[in-house]
Amino acid sequence: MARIPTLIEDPNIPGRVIGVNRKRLDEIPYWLLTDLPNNIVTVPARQSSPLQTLILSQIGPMRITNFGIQRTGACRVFLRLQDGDSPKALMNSAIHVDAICGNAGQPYNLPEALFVDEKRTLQAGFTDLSGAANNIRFVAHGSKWTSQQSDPTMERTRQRLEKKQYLSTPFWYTTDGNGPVVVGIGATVNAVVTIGQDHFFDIMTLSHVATGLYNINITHAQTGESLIQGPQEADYQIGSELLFGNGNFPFRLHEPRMIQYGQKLLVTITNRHVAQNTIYLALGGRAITVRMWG
Amino acid sequence: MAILRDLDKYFYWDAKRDMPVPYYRNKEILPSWIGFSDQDPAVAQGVYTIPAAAAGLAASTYFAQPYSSVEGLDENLGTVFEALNLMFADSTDTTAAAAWTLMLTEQGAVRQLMNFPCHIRTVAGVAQTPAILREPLIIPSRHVITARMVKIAGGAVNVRMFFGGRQYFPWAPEFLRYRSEHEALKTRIRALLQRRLTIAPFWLTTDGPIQLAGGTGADFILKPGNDAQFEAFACAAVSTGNFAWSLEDAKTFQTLMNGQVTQTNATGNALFPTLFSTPYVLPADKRFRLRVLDLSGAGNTIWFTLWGRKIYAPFMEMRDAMADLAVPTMADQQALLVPAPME
Repeated sequence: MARIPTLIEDPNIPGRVIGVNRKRLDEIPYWLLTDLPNNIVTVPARQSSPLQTLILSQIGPMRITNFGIQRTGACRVFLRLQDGDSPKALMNSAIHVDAICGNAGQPYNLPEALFVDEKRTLQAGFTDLSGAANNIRFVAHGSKWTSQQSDPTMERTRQRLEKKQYLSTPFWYTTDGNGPVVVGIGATVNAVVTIGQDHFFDIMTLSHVATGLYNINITHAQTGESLIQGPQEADYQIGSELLFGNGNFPFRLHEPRMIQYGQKLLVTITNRHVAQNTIYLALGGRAITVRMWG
Repeated sequence: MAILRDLDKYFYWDAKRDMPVPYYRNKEILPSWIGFSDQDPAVAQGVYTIPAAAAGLAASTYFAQPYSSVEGLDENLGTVFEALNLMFADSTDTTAAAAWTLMLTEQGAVRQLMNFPCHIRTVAGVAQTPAILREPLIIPSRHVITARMVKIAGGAVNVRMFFGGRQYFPWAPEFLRYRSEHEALKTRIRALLQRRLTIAPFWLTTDGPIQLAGGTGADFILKPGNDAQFEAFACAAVSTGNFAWSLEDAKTFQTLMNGQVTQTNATGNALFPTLFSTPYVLPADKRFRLRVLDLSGAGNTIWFTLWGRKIYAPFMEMRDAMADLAVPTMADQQALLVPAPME
């Protein structure tokens, strides 16, 4: 909940409330949708939409904390930030929406809030997977400030948050290449997740969309260490149902796991499903920029 | 031990004996539940029967907090119940399909806790996912919360309802010997009783259910009243079909979204309400405009409820309010399966 306190309490009488903080009027919950006339994004079968912008007005910045989705068929989403003239991807490749978007009262909580303002716009592109025309309603929820420019304390906080966002943004990784991991009956497949060259990556959540159950191991390519078992244990796979949540309830790591820039994760998947298994992985976390100023 | 010393509120560190000692007062704060009062002859074993919708009757019963003290020496504090969540069960229609409205009124303070009867599945949860009150409802001794229930459709139903929370009982004879702890607990109770004078949980809904013909839309006004500031922190809805909605301040036209969100992508129910990233404070003389559009293509009946609290205090400036600004996300909060009550 908000950290701008609502209540002003009497310091001399415990429990006595003497006022409501006027600054609370400047921070409001806000739902940001793809811009009109594209509140509903229509994607033809097996095709991709152009990038849709979610533009915030000039009135104030916003911190996005949740994603929600309504769609008529399965699809993938690619998110990026347009900051001035320069785009910044928020994922290495398009990710299945049901892995990073929730719905109803269980929206997906971002690993870290995403700061956007009038110059810094979230963009979303969708790719249909259903084989039919797909109507998609995507919503980003967060808190918006309405009059920070007239309040020096809020304006200073805005500047601090904006600078922090250059150093740390939410980020998602899926397996390299532009497709899911497809595993035949009883087969084992290896895939790779390559961390970008410009940031460290803190893994904070694990979620997926898959046809059926599978076993998985994730190994740090440079050290040979399994992320799941740690350095001391024998290295073996774990059931997907024990490790991966979904967009409504992603599995949250109790401690983030940092992977250095440019390094690789080896993903070994063994199918337990009775048919071919199509698996979309999503490693959620935050990208921590390195060598920003050279 | 250092962890115990620093973190555990149930123990203090006795330096002389170099060992942890439990605070006795925590034995006098008990997890507790208040159901319908069995003083009402219409209540049998906590079960109350709501008449059939066709009868058109409103059924009323109440929750009552008992009184207890040691020989009446209660220093005007009595025993206090701090309600933290709300749960219900409908053993006739089943809880998942319950179709009746609830109106809660606090008789002692003569306060309605809802502006209009709310659909039960927008305000009360079940044990696994109770409806968390972000502002606890403080029920002093001998106070009564009236529950008025009306069936929306179908026959009579048997229902149970519980407030879950904490019971404060500082008058146990054994506890009176621990004078400093007894005083500490009394201070806490006094703070709760002070707080309830200016804050109470509140549920805000439309004046009756929203009824839309297929594919149509309409505007509705939500009126929290002019007596207090209203702070909304979540919303929940029950409907017969999918719908889209937007919310704005009806007087200033401040909008909370740049389009309409849908029930599917952004609207929960009492089990999983849509928690706002930050609460919305609506000043006392303002109203919400709820703009609703049916997406089902058929007739749609919608019950929409904002969860919040009423604060009976004026707006004031607070110099240091920005010291701690941040919206906590996963990066800076530990995993919680249910939201904690607002402090």
